[in-house]
Amino acid sequence: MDLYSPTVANLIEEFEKLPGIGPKTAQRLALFVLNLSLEEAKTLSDAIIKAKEKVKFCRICFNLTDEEVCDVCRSEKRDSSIICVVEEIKDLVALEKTREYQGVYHVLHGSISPIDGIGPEKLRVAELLERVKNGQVKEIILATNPNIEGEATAMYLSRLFKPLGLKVTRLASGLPAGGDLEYADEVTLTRALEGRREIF
Amino acid sequence: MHLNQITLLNFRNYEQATVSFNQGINIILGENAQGKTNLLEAVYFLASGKTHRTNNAEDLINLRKDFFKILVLVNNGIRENSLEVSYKKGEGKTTRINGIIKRKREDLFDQISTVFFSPDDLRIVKGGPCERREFVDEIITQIKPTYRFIKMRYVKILKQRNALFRSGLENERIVEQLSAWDEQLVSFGAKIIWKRANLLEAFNNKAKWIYQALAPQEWLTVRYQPSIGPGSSIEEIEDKFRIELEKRRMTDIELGVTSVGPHRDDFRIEVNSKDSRIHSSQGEQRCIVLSLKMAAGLLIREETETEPIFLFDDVMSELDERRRRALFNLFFKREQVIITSTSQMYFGSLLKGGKTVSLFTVSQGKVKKIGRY
Repeated sequence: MDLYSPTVANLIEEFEKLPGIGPKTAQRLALFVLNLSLEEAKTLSDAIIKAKEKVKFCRICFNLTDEEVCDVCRSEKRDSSIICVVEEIKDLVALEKTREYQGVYHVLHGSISPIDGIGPEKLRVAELLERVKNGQVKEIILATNPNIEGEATAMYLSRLFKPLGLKVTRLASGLPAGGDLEYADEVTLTRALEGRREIF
Repeated sequence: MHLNQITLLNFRNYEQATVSFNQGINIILGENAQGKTNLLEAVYFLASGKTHRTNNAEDLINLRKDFFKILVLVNNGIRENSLEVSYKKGEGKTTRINGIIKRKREDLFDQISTVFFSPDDLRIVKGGPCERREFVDEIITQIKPTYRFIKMRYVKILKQRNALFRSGLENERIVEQLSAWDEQLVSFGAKIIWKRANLLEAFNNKAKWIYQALAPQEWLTVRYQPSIGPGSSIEEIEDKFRIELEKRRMTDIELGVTSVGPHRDDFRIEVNSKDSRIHSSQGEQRCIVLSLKMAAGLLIREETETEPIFLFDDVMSELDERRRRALFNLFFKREQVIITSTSQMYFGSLLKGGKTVSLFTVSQGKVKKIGRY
């Protein structure tokens, strides 16, 4: 890194800390920023600062929001008796894109993974329990990822909520709709076979 | 299936070599350290992604070069396919089937099936349970490729479970989270046990008669010693597994390990009901491993309707004349067998059987065909 002045090297390193950015991309981004006008550079840094200052987690579901409570939780059209539990905000966004789901969400911000030192206490589980106890929740949809950590998280939550007399459901796993069978990988196909159902 | 041709570029001690093989028996002769084993290793590496000597593909590159390439032409009974794997320092592996780049290396494994014997494989008899589990699991994977994913998942769950034990949490907290892992462990673990148990039944039938061809009046059996079971259905194994986990819960938490499950399975290899690990001689152990490998190939043939290519390294040493003849007779029945040896003497009288045998010599990374008998 001695090839760059300390200030430039510092900027490159800051970019490298971002997810998905390697040394080469970091270098490209840094040089791009240096070529911006001062005004443009300020716009960029202001956007970062503003986002940090203004955006917070929804106090109910831990979605991102500029207000105290997010759009979904605030909406009168949504059915707050159904909570869909997801790992990350991007999962919530993916489900929202369908425009089919009418319930509300709860973002855990991760999944249980002892190897990474993440237990339920590090996720927003206590807050979810609180929501369930206080409200008129009828159903919990567990929409964690279908990998082993997501499955473990779903099982943990199911054991937590079933005794409370709630309906607890898990997203189905299998073939992607609209796709071709031949493009599905072996694991997905095996799962789809296991989860087959009778047709009427 | 059979191999029509192999081309090596910068692989081990080969800079460039092309060898055309025939159906039937192919014998590669050569002194030590000339490249006999490297030739078999190349085929096995292409077909399985593994080699018995290293875990690092970079070790396979010729010392003065920065990449290697293996290209084979395989006839699978329907047509000839060209399969290729190359590795370049800093870039990694590239896989091609009939010239087309494949993203997944497993695609290649589906196109070629081999059974590889190396003298190191004696560890299947002599070594620990892990060697035997690996041997059995590799056969299952060749028959049912999705078994690979079941095992990968099981290992991941096991690691998470053990990490939970070592997390430093109070026992009460651990137990609270444990069932989330145990349900998955039980589900994947029972599948593994079920598949292993089923495989062995069919496998033993084959291993038994092959071993008898080599050693008359002797009975070879591979006995499954699952850490849970036996069970007559997956559900029964799941139940037993669950009960065992519960029983051992407190000691497992204390020791920070999972003391029961298919990762603790073993297989007892018996000749006339005696443990061959203890009671068999070096020569007998060699015969046992050869029989296990042959049986594996025949079972794969039966289940997949394609006969694998048999790659047997340094196969004749330590066997007496009668056993060499018996083994050779077994080889004659196979579609293709490629074997290496340091001495033509081993084959002297065997070559007059009126069947097709192709002979090659290897010297300093150069292969020459010297005849067909």
